[in-house]
Amino acid sequence: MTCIEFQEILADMIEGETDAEHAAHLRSCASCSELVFDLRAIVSGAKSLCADTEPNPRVWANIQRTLEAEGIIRPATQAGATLTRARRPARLAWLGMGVAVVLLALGAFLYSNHYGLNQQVAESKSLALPASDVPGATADDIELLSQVAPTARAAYADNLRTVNAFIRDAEDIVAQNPEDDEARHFLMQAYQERAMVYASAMDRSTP
Amino acid sequence: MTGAKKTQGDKLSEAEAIERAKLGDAEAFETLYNLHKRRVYSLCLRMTANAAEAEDLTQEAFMQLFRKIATFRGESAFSTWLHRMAVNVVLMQLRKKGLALVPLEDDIESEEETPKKDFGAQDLTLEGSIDRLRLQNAIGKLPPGYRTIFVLHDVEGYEHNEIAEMVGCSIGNSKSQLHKARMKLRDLLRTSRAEKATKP
Repeated sequence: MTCIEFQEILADMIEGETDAEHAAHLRSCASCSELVFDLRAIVSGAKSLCADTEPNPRVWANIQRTLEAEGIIRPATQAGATLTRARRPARLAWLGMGVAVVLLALGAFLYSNHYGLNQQVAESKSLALPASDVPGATADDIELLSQVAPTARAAYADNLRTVNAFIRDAEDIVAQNPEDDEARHFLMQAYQERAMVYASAMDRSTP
Repeated sequence: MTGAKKTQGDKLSEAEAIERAKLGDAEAFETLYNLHKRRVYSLCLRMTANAAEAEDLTQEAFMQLFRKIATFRGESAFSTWLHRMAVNVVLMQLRKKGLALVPLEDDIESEEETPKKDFGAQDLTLEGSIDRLRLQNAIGKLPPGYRTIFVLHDVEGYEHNEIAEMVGCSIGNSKSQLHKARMKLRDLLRTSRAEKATKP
């Protein structure tokens, strides 16, 4: 048997039996023997490949949204979600309140600032505050604060510090419970609050 | 949770989850997803060699499953049913992209896709065992047609008659493509090994 003849039956032989004639060729031909050895290793390796790759959590989040939108499952507030909800970290409860507090604080500040009610207090607190002296501030925060009028800087720094803390907490919770709709909602809300603080600060930035 | 039996660790069994999913129970859907997500995603990833596409296809496969779950009668294993659905979703996507799943004739081979028929240099022999990562990478480099048949047969364990039916080719064609895919893989693995050996 030649190598060419052997190759013609190779495909059927890899997973099947080797008859006497083929076995004799394999004993006498190192190249064909290596080829068969390699192909069998590939077949064996393929069988041992594990199905262990985890899809990104957003896949389930998308499926869940679609299932709800199509009315295939009951909304997350009903029966099925009860257990998940009960196991949710307690800090999520105040996270929602915290985001609201930032909104209120920002609103109160803008209101009082607008009517000049606490301008003196703000000036006394803020004039000495360097833009970079805000714990946990990002580079963007520092740049933003440097552009804000000194009288308003302390109030914006407070708001940014608070909203950044909420974002960090919300991101932690979402990372731990990617399917938690409420946590995702708070995170989005926190991002929006941060955007609002930025927008407001930009309006009041020094020319 | 009233009346629902739970398995150890307060988790639903697959059978319970199926029955409850038929009633629209959100937790049951999540349980089924968690039980099968890795296998479905791995299949999609191996067949497409693209993580983003595999995510979309995983989502689509599960959506199809959940839309039809009320029709599941349990004659076949649930995982078999889901798996076949996932394969069909991937094949449909490959067809949409205009990729030929299998050439019409066995002898249609581009220069690039033809496995080299050299019978091996000693220093490149695969040495019998192949690490999973190298094999995984090599499978990703196969032309889509070869990859489809190889993954379905050698990785997922489908028979040639099942593959022929799913892909829409003859059994002989499936066998022929599989052999070419294995030869191409050998070539890719040997090249990878040679490149690794020449690196300082």
